[in-house]
Amino acid sequence: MKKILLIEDDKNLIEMYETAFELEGFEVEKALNGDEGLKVLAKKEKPDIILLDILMPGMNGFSFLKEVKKKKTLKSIPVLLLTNLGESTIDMNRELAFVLGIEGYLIKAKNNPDQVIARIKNILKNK
Amino acid sequence: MGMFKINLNKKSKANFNNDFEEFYKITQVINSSLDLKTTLKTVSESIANITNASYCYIFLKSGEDEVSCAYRYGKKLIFREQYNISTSYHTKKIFKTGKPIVTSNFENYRHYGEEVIDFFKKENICCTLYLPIIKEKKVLGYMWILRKAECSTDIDIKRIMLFVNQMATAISNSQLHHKIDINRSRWKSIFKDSSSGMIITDPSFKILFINKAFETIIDKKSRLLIGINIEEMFVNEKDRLFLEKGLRQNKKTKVFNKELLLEAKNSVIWTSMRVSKSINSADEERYIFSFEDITSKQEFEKDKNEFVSIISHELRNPLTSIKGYLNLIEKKEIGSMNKKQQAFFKKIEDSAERMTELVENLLDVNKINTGKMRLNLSPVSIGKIFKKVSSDLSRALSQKNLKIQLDKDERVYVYGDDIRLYQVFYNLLDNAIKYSFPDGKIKVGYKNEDEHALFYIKDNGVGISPLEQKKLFTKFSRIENIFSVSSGGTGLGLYIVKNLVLAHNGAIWIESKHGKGATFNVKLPLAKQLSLVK
Repeated sequence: MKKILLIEDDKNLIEMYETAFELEGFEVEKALNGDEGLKVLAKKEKPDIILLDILMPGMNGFSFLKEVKKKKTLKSIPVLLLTNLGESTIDMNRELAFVLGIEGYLIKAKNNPDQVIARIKNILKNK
Repeated sequence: MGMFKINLNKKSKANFNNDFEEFYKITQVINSSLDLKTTLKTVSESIANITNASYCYIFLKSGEDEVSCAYRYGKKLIFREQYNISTSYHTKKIFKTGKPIVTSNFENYRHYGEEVIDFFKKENICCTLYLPIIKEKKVLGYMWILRKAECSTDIDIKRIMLFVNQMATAISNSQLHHKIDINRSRWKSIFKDSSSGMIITDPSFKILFINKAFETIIDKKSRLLIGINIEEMFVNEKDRLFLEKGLRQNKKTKVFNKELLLEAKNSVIWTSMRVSKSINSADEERYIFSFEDITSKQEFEKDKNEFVSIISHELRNPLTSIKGYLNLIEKKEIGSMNKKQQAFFKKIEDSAERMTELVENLLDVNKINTGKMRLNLSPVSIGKIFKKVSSDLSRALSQKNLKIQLDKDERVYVYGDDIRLYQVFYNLLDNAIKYSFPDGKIKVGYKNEDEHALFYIKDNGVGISPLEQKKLFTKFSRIENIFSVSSGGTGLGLYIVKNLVLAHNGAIWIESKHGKGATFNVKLPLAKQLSLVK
């Protein structure tokens, strides 16, 4: 069973994505911000993919990404940005994000869970 | 007037040379000076000289029923500066007859006050002359000459009147000049005291004049600015280009409006600029610039844009949640809905979709307004993008039983942002579907032409009137749709489309005839390197 680490601070969205992913047969681990995400990653069993929000209280998505990509054991895990932040902000940070090594990004409001799942499957297939 | 020859001292010897000299002097002054004071001074002095007068006054008409002393030769007297024409004996008479008056034997004249007569006695004034100043049969005023008894020159009124007549011409000229001068200074003060910042430049945009208000706007002294080129104050390169391309080379337009940033002392100022071309009285070409400080308006705009941006982003999270759960409810694992629930579900889904569209449109408009619309450019295939657009809109097409008639050239690659171009073609096809008659055809075509790709989409609707065409690409414009009460759009779609096309250095225009549908044409720059085609 493939495992997703969902780093997201909106509780409604967490439950929604968790339900949708589980229906598709994924195992879901949750974290409310970057710090919690790093704690989850410190465990022995690593996720197959990380879905990462950007704006969160505590450690934000970009800081989390930098930390992950520094660590040999973690940097190969694909990261998909899942955010409602303005595209212009993402555009500005796009280069940084791709340098840091993301697989892509999705605007949450523009993609329903099915579309997010399709993208996840695509990334895992090419891995 | 020749009959007024008075030999007051019986020593009649005309000083012809003296007369000639004075006459020459007067003519010189009259020809060279338009200043009334100078003219009056010279003429009074000359006449006083040749008549051997002790005092000489010039009274000019200063009101409907009023004369005022315009020049005084000799020391200041107790006499009044102004007289009413209708109530002063000699003044009234001279204005009525236009003929000179000679007065003497003052004790007998009740028209002078005691003070005046006392003065005449003290100064030994033996006679006075009132000489009318007439121009084109109009009495402009008169000269009053006071002579002492001991002076020994004869005076010939006819002779003196030659001088006075010269003066009349000079007075009427300088009065006219004075009027023009007042007008000019009125205009000057409009420029000087205008609350708009104003600048006048020559045709090369070199600054000639600056008014106070402009100094205030940019907090710099005019002496630092006069002589420099106005473009040195423009912060943005494109505004400098506007001077040359938009202004100088544009022969048709007379007045220009533009909002631009000016460099002030320690900051930059948003201004609304108005420029007009003008030719001055010396036949020289001038540009007149006026500026209003709109910094606070711009700040309000900025606040508004930030507000829209924050609100829209804040709306995205709850919308994600609504749409996400709707997506979940549809799944068979969650359970099934009855028919009524399914119908209601559809309505919620449609509303959520419309709201998403509104939020995304507002965010796009916001990006356009704040100049943050960024494109990720790469060579993209129009055919590929349009294929996805038509497949995503296939349901809407089949609902109205519309067919797409495609006239295509497979190898049309443009240099563009695939996501944004998808948005452009999606909006255009979506509109074409909305405004087409059912069971018809929508014609779509794209091809290469010189350096550009041409794309068109033609609906079979009622067409768009010229008036509506003008409004079409503006914000919140909507065209009445005969097929639905509410078109359900935000009125932002075509505004965004136009700005996206412009951001691609492209162009968009409409052709439409009443009753014959509308064609939207899009021109986009071709991709040069095809190795990276998406």
